[in-house]
Amino acid sequence: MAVIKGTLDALVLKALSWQPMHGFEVTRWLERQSGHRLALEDAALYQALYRLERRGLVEAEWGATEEGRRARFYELTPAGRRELRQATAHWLRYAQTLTDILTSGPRTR
Amino acid sequence: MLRLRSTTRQDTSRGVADEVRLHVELRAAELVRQGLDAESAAAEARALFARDERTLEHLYTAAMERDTHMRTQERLESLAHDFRYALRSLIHDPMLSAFIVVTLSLGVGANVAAFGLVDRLLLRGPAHVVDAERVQRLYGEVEFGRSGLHTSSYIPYSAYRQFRGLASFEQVGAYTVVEGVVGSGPAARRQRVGLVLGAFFPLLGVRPAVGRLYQDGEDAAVTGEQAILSYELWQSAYSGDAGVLGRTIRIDEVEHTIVGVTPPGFTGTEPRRVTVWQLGSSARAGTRNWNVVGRLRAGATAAQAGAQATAMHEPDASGPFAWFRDARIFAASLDRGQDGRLPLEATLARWLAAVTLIILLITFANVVNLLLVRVARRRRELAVRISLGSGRARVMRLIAAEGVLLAAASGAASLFVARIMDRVVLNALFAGEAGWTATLLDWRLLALTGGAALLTALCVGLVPAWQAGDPRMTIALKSSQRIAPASSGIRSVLTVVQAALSVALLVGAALFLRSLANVNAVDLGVDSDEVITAEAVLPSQGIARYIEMEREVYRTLEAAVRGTAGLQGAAIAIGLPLDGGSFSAAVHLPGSDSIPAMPGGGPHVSTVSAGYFDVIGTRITSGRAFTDADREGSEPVVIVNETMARVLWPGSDAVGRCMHISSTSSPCSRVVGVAQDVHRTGLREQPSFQYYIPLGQQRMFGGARLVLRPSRGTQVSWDELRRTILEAHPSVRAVEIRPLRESLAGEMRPLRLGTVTFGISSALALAVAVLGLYSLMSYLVAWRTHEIGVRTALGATRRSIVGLVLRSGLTLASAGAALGLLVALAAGRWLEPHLFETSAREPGVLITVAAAMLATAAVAGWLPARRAARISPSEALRAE
Repeated sequence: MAVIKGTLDALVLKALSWQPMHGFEVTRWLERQSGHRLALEDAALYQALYRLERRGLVEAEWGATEEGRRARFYELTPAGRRELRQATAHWLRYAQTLTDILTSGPRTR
Repeated sequence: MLRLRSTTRQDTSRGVADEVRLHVELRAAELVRQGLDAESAAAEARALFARDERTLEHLYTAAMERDTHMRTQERLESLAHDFRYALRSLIHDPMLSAFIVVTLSLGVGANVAAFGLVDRLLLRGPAHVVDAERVQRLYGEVEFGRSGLHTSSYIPYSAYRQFRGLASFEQVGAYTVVEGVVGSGPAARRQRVGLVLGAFFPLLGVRPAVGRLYQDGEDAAVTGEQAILSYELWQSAYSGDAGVLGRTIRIDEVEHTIVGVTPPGFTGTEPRRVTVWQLGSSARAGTRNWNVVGRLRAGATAAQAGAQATAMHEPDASGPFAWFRDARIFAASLDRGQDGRLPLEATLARWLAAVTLIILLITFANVVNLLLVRVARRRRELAVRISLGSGRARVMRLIAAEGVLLAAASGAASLFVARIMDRVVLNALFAGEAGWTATLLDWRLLALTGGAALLTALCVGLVPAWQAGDPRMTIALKSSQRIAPASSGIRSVLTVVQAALSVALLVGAALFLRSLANVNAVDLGVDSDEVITAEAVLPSQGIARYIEMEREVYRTLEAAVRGTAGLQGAAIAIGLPLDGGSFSAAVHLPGSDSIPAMPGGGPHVSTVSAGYFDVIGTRITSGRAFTDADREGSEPVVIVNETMARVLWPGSDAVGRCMHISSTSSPCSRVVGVAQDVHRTGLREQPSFQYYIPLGQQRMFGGARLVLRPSRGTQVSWDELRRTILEAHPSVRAVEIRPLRESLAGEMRPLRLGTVTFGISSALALAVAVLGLYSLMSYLVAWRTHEIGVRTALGATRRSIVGLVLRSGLTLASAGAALGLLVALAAGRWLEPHLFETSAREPGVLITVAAAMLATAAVAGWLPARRAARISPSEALRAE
């Protein structure tokens, strides 16, 4: 299942809302959460991270992984947290509306 | 929080590569754990990351964009932070900041105003004239025996006709400005009327606001009288009504059809306003002198035009224009005056611009100096900043931000200064005469102000910042070593120079002020400040009949105005004092061949009614004044001035003596009184013979005026006077009222101009010098804190410390004052002709100015001196 255009940012923000992560951790988190059902090119995820960073929604800092490797850790900013809340609310409303329409019975007179 | 990040493009791509590598390796490791062999795991991991090169490229691009954006963001934030910090630190020192902004804005504002003036007078040319530098005016240079070379733009009509064929000119025209009564009824006024010939309007390139302007050749084929209104008259008299075309306007009793309106601010080729433009008809043109203007053909030069005109000019040996016979003709640009030279205003404007520019440069130097003092005083704070890791560049930026803020504030303030200065200068130079009602400021000057502010920012921002970033400074800051102020020699020289400049300029201002005082002290023989004169314009006719009619009309008018509220007295005079337009008539004494000639010429004669001497304020020193009984038909009587009485009848009383006026055959006129000498031509007066005859006993002179004296302290309504006079007699066409003092305007002008220009520039220079001295003294005190502390510890009193600091300031100021006085003495030769009965080397003025400079220097040095005196030894040592 492909990721619906424009939703990747929200997913990345959600991933980072637990704790700061580097890119691969975000990928793995998303794969686990989706039960490997999302078809996603890894590079697209990094693009999303850069985009979010540019918009000031996440901040990045170089650090070391548990294995002592140099990695870039991404952290949600307060603005990112706000954005996640709004995106989630918006998506839930949208999905609900879509669900209502798609699951409604035949029209009755 | 601010993190200073300086990422380059290389950093960015290296970062992305690292991230990608880590990701791919971790993914491969995961795949290996799931059972793949190392090689295919690596390939799979790479494939999962990006399908093709383009995806990777996109990733890199996104990273670049991110870093560029964030760098900009960071810079803006840190810039905003720098400015907030700079603003706080400037507000922390309000006196200093205000001082700097005030001096800078004065300096910049004065420059903008001065440049505006130069621009208007010298660079831009007359309003609405296209390519003004191609338009030339012709001048005739004539050798007049005794009086030497005489240059004038007045050229006889016959010569103009010849010059129309000049090969160097594309188009040729001519103009002259005369006075005429424009309008009718109470609105009628004597105005400046322009007469034009040939291609005057077409060659200037001016376009009408309404209707049309005269074309070349119209003067030859004129049908009916036509007039072109100035924009200003059109607005004031017709409220800008476009339907004015075809209506008529009365000029000198003749109705003229209005055919057009000139654009706003158009004054021809001279700055003075012209109200109406008439066509100079060929019939009347021959009796006048004209200003000839032409537009140079492409490639032709002014020198060629002059040479051609001189060569083609055919001597017209006869007639009233014989003087022009041997004239050498030359062409010059429109910024020249009627005498072919740059007018005084233009010279002064250029001079003012040069002086204000020097002052501005000195101001820059001073402000930079002052900011350096600030850096020196703040060295501990700056050292702490640097040691906390702010970085030298950061500290430099903080200092630069202060300079930029100061420059911006000064730039804004200088616009106000320029506006005010502009008003002052316009009023002083043109006093309502100029057609340029508009301000001199325009977008070019706004741009200039902006440029000056930028320059200011560069000077006052960068130099102190550079100094703060100087490694030697940093070492000094960190190690608390004291380094000697390297450039204190230059600073001292600068202080001396500005003190000298202000002293020289102050001497100029004082000399002009002294001249004005001397003018006020002159006994003109009349009360020029109180008396006003009124001229009733009457229809012209034959001279003999005119004189008779004029006398009768004026007697009616004199009687009519007597009742006007606030008027103390009225009289009639033909031949007014001060305006130089007096008449001469020979005088013969019985039994003597001739009377001695006087340096002031003459003998000058005025015809006056009874009461004249009281009204105008001329004392009768012996005998009596005229009475109503002295008139036509009564015994011929005369009043002579003191010089005449003294020279013609030395040692005896003039009253009762007899003299023949005009010719020996005329009847004897008896001297009935002696009046004090009166200035006839203006402020500068040579002794001359003057005498008065009663109204009615003269036959040759016309041109009467009412002489009116308002009661002390009351304001007479000129409108009411004008109405009274207009209604008193049906022949009166227009009424011109002006103060008697106005006749002196021409002579007062250079004095007023000098006072204003020297006043402005010396005030500026003084302000700048005070600032300079203050900053230098502060600087020295800041650097000598240690030494002063030691002195105090060794028992020096506060008094002696103040004395120490003041002395060093006064030494510099004295050197400056001495140098300034030398300059003033040297330049005096140039100044003296413009002064009034004042020597340019007047010791009183020189001493006063030098003393004022020293007093100001003492005041400027006082604050730093007090600061020095408050330094306690422990503080000085702690500062180490």
